[in-house]
Amino acid sequence: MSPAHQRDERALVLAAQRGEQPALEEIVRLHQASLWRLGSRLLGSPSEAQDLVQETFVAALRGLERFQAGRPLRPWLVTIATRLGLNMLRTRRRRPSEPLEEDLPDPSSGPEGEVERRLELENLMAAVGTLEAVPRAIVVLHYCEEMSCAEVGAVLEMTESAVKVALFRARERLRTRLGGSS
Amino acid sequence: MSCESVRECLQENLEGTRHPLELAARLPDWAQRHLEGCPACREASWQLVSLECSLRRLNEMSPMPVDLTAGVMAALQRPEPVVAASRERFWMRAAAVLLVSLCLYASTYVSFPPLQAGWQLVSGWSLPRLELPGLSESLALVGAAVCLVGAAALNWRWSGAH
Repeated sequence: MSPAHQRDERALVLAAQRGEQPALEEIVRLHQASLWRLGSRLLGSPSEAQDLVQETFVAALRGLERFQAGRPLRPWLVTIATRLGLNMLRTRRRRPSEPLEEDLPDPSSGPEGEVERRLELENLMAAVGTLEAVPRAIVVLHYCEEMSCAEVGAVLEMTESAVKVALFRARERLRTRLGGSS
Repeated sequence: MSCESVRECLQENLEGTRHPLELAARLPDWAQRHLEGCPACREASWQLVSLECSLRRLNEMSPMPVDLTAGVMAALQRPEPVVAASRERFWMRAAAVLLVSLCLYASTYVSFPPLQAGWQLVSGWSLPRLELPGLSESLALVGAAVCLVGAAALNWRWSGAH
């Protein structure tokens, strides 16, 4: 993050902490797309991802007074979204299982290469969806949010080495599941 | 060297790799020798690189179906959900239980045989008497009364939080 961007974000957070509506709206506009991507990868369902994004912003903006302006906002939002997402996954496990739906366009349309890429991503998402909640969150944070194992550990309150071990096992499971097709 | 150690070594060197040959070049000599003679591990290395390349595509942005700004702003206007109230209730309940326990414990200091007998009857054992310097019977009674009033106030606030 550039120093100018950091200054802008600090000003935005301070305005939002004063309850200024345009600043609150700007925070949502700036971060909703990336949080939605995180939610859809974690939950495998666009509609649930939408609920997750909404819940994340409501929780974050209600607790914004506790946030220290000047610190980067995104990791904080990602932490809230991940924890809420994990709760949603655990609740879902108690309900009868639902098939995972991924927000991908119809593979029968579009250029051939694109279709292949979409199908590959669809297969991958289905395989990621078979992982347990925490390993799934680790995979999503590491690859989707491009976080290091230490950063993932900070979000999930795990040690770096525990994250590495879980990531190792998750990759092995995905490799076995996808076989040579990925 | 076992296949398991080679698989571990493959994963440790996976970060940033784009091609199986690139991965093989990063491996120490012992792992490379193992790969040359073990088709299963060679296959696993190909699969791992292929998986790694696919996983790195998870960060591709797909368009959001709708703008959620209006929905979030509307949700913010609604009163706080019950979760916060129930968390508050939990702590008030815990504090009330603690105060009542303190009150009961303070009562063990009071030399009133029926009270001690009652304790023994209810719990099956007698609580050790508080032997704190400067703690008198009247001070223990005042402490117990303060604890009871505190617990009652919490209970009143707790009922209001429903």
